[in-house]
Amino acid sequence: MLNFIFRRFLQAIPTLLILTMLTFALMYMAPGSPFLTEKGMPAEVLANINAKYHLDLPVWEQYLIYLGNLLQGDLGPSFRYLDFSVNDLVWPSLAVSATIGGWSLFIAVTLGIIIGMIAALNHNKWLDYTLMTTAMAGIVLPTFVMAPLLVLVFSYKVKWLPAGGWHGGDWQYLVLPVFAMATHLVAQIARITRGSLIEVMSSDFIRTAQAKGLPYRTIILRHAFKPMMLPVVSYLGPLFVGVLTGSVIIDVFFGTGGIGQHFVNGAINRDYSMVMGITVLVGVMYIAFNAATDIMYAFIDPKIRY
Amino acid sequence: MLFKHKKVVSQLAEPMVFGSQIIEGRSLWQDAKRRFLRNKAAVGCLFVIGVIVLFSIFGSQFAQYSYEEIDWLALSDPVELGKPSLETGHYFGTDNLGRDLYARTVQGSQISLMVGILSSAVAIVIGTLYGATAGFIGGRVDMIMMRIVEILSALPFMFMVIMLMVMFGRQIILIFIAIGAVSWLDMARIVRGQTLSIKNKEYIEAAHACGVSHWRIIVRHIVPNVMGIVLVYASLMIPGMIMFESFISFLGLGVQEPQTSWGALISEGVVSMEFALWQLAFPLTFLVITLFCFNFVGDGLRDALDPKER
Repeated sequence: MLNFIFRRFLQAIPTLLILTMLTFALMYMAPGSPFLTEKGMPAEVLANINAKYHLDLPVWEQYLIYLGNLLQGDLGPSFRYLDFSVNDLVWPSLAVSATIGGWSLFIAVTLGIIIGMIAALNHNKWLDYTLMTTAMAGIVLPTFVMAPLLVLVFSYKVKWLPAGGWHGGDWQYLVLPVFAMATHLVAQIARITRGSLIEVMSSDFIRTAQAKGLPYRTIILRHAFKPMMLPVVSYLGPLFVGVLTGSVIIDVFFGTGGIGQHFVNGAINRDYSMVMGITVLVGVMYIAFNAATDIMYAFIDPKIRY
Repeated sequence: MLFKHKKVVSQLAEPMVFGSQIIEGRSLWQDAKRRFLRNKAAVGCLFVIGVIVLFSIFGSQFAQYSYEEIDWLALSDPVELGKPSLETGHYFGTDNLGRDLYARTVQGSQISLMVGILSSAVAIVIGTLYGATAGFIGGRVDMIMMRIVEILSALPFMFMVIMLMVMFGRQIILIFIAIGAVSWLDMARIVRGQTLSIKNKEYIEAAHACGVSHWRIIVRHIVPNVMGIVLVYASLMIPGMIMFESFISFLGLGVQEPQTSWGALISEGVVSMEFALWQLAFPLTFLVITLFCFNFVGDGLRDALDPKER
């Protein structure tokens, strides 16, 4: 097992290298330079600045320097917010995103599995149809639609909750962002769980368990639950992506100050180092999460050889 | 020799006659069609999609304004004069700049549907051929090809696409390329799996024995046989693409003004939803209904083409 985990992480290395190469290449090819101002500056000063930021070296050397800095956790200075490094800006907002994302994941997984199981155990009855139609609505309503709708209803019409802001993470400020992000994910997980449980319930070992006269609860919890979880677990990787991309919308719309906000602002301001830093950061988390999902999968599924 | 062979085949394909009764064989596709047509929800949704496509093509015929023309009267007070009404000719009202929302919704539908369908088509062509090739040739080629897919799919492409859009400007063609480049990966994986399961079938062996080239076997024998699953996946991919484009447009990184898309319209509508709800409601309705219908059609197709359901 340890061997498998170790190998899985080794496999992530080439992916990470390609990720950094791609982002670096994009940045290198990007039109314009952060140091070209409207007034222009003396050639000597520009040459000095270029030397300082290694822009006068050949590409591959620049890449190696960039990679070296990255390995030391240095994402470089922001091109837009003078005198701030990308690290200074990113880490506080990562905490915000982690709070919102963590709650959303928690709600999505628990609620999704429960709804999916209820629907599956009432297969082809009205409860199943109602739940699955609702889930479909949750799927077709993307986060960027859900967020405005929630604000419209709960902030403008009934005025229960604030329409945005963070305020140190008070619960009132958390509710709408978390729900806006979680709806879509709950619906997805519910659908996957339902399909999976229906298939599991029609398999031979469940029939055997029923023939033995086991109580219904034991059959579900002991025998059906684990195989049911397999597709759900393999969805956790994409789920994490959903949280990351969802956070872009959430931060822009609610102004919560999470990492997504920096990404979009950086993109609009052409703050290349910021956008790149976040792309690499998100990429690393994403790849790590995929690896973790694989390992978890191997734990649950005895058929997987490692 | 070859002609004779063809003749035999054509005789086999003719319906068999038992007495006065004609018994016709039903192909997989005919079966699937029957099952699909019995699914009321899916057929209804297919019809709705048809209507929306027609709307995006011919809707501009009924518009009183062009999608970039500014109605200065409505601009003076978009909340009151820009309301949806039949008298002013603004069926869906106007946006905050006094542009006719009906015409803009038609235009947005065109872009959104085009992005959805074309980029899915790109992804499906690349993915199917790639997957079929990898699965059919097998061995080391397969290993390398699938390793590439694995590495590419481990990258956070959503972020890469946004980065691309920022650095090289907002061009619709770039959206196609970027989205298409991302989404063929899953397709390739699915098709490869299917190909592996059919490549040792007798008819493939027969084609080998006849001396058909690899490429022709892939295109003529493998691809048609994986078409079922490709079709199901495609119908679920289109709403994904539409959503992705809307997502990018919502962030203000998608289509360039004065062109628009559902996502861009929604993002404009959100700003003024407190006092002019129609600006959000119309494009949102179109987006949601389309996504809903594509998902239902996809589910219907999956049920219809599932061999277990016979």
